[in-house]
Amino acid sequence: MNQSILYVIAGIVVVCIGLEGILIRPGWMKKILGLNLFGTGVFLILIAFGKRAGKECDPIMQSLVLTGIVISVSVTAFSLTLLQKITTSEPGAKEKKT
Amino acid sequence: MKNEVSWRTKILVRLMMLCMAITLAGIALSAPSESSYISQAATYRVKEAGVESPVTAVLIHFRGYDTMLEVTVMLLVAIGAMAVGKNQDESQPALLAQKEETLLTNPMIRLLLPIMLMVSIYYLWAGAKKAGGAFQAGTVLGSMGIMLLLAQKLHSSNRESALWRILLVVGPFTFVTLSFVSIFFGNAFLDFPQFMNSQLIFCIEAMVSISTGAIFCVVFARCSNLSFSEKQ
Repeated sequence: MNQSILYVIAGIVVVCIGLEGILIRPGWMKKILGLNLFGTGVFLILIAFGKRAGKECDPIMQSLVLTGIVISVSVTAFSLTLLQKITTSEPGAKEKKT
Repeated sequence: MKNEVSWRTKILVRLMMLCMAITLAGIALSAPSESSYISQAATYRVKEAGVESPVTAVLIHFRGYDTMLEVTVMLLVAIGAMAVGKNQDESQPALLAQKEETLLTNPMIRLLLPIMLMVSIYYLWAGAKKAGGAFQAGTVLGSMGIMLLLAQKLHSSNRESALWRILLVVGPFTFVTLSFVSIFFGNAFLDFPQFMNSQLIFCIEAMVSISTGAIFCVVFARCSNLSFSEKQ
């Protein structure tokens, strides 16, 4: 019980770091990394919640997180593709990189 | 991106983050400690799904819609990457400029390729009983493809060939098609008939893992200015 609360709080901290990256830091790459961190924090919270009762982790939480991981990988991949398109097609993109 | 955020916005955002963190922590501390009805049901009725692992049962059987849509989202990402991502003729240097093989690449690939294939098949097989399953197996397959791509064992062309397109859609296609099977047995969509549960789930998992691997490869190739035609 106590241990899972610790993990939930760690997850909340990770979520906050990710939000900081998305909302405040300039630069697309940092925003994508922030989105990833945000997702990781949410997964940590979900898994810690699922582990709360009993020895086995809640199977519903596990499959939700599995789905979430795959979706987050997909979102990251697509946003990286878009970012690459943006940086290569911007005028003057050859000289400076974001 | 030069537009810096003003200090007022920063303070506001951080205050909101603090409020959210406190609320979440409060929820975490006050939540009841016993597991919900739905997860107990999933654990007790796992035998009905035809597999022993509750996670696989939830993923493919009890909440099949989620996974079907997830696979479709991945396919969409691959299509998007193929549409938006780079083409070969945009003059950019390839990820590995030199064509010649180093001393290390070939022996490493020869060593790693069978091991990765074996690990992937093991994950697929283990998915019925313990941790493992389609996406884990697919990830290993995808990393295998990326390794081959980096070592230039997979050759590049402008458009993905027919084989690769088939590999991309085989997972979603199998999932949707086999979901219709249950209708012919008088059940609802995605409610697999009990006597052929495990076979159907294994078939779906195998195809989904192949598609996952292919999607990862294609997206990586499109991000990195390489794309596929066929294995040499």
